Amino acid sequence: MMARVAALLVFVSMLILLHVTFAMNGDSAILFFFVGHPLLVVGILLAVIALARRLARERAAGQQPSSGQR
Amino acid sequence: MQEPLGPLFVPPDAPDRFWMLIAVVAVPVMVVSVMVMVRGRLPAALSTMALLLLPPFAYVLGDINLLEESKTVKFCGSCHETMSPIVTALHQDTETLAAIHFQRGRVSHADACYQCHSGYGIWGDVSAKTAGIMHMLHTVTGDFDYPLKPRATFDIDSCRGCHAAATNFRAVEAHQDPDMQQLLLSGEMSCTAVCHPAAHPDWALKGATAYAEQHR
Repeated sequence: MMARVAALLVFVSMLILLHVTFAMNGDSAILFFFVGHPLLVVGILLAVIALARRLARERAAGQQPSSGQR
Repeated sequence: MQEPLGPLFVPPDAPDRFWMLIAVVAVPVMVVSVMVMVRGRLPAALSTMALLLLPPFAYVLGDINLLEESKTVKFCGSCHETMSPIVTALHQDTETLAAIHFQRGRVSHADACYQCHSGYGIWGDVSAKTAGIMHMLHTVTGDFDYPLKPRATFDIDSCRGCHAAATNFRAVEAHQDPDMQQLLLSGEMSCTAVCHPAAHPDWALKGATAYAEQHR
């Protein structure tokens, strides 16, 4: 779920980036600075957390058989 | 806008292909984002690349592009309510300093606002960009009043950057007066309003609504 939210935030921030690139004006610049940047930061933070949790889960799942063999 | 009289009167075009670079980075990120949203997960390497590494890179490119494009008169004039009458005055007014410079080609028609309002040298660029971000904040919060007034003394280094070495500027007796020089350099006195005409006409500083009502 967290990965999906992160992907959504990154997707919207990229949309805003493309918007400011093609419609270079004051309104789109305000959107880019005050909405796009915060969305991207939050999206990346969520993606990092989602990835870290997934790696931790996979590591734990990978260690279970070996600990069971002992 | 007036029709150009021939190709000689059309300013040379500087091709801008920076948007392609931004699109090349941003579009794959968007595609992978959609895949993550649909599937819920993707290979870790692909997710890391598309959600962690490429987006900041795309935004750095976007910031560079915005820094460059925000120098243009077109960009300044796009804040319609506050700035469009000032840009109109550059073309129509005949008595104020900015319009005189603009119409005589003493400043670039592409980035005239930035040339005069950015100060001089790299720190002038930094202060102009900081002021630009503050302008955005004032626009968002509505923290400004008409008629528009400068919040700080105008940095005459912008003027001196071009005029300091000009022979006709040096020949003016008032410019050679040490007291006058001190007053100007300390910011106690400005070039405009006292000796030279105001930078922009009063009617241009009252916003687009007031301008439209005046010209109805």
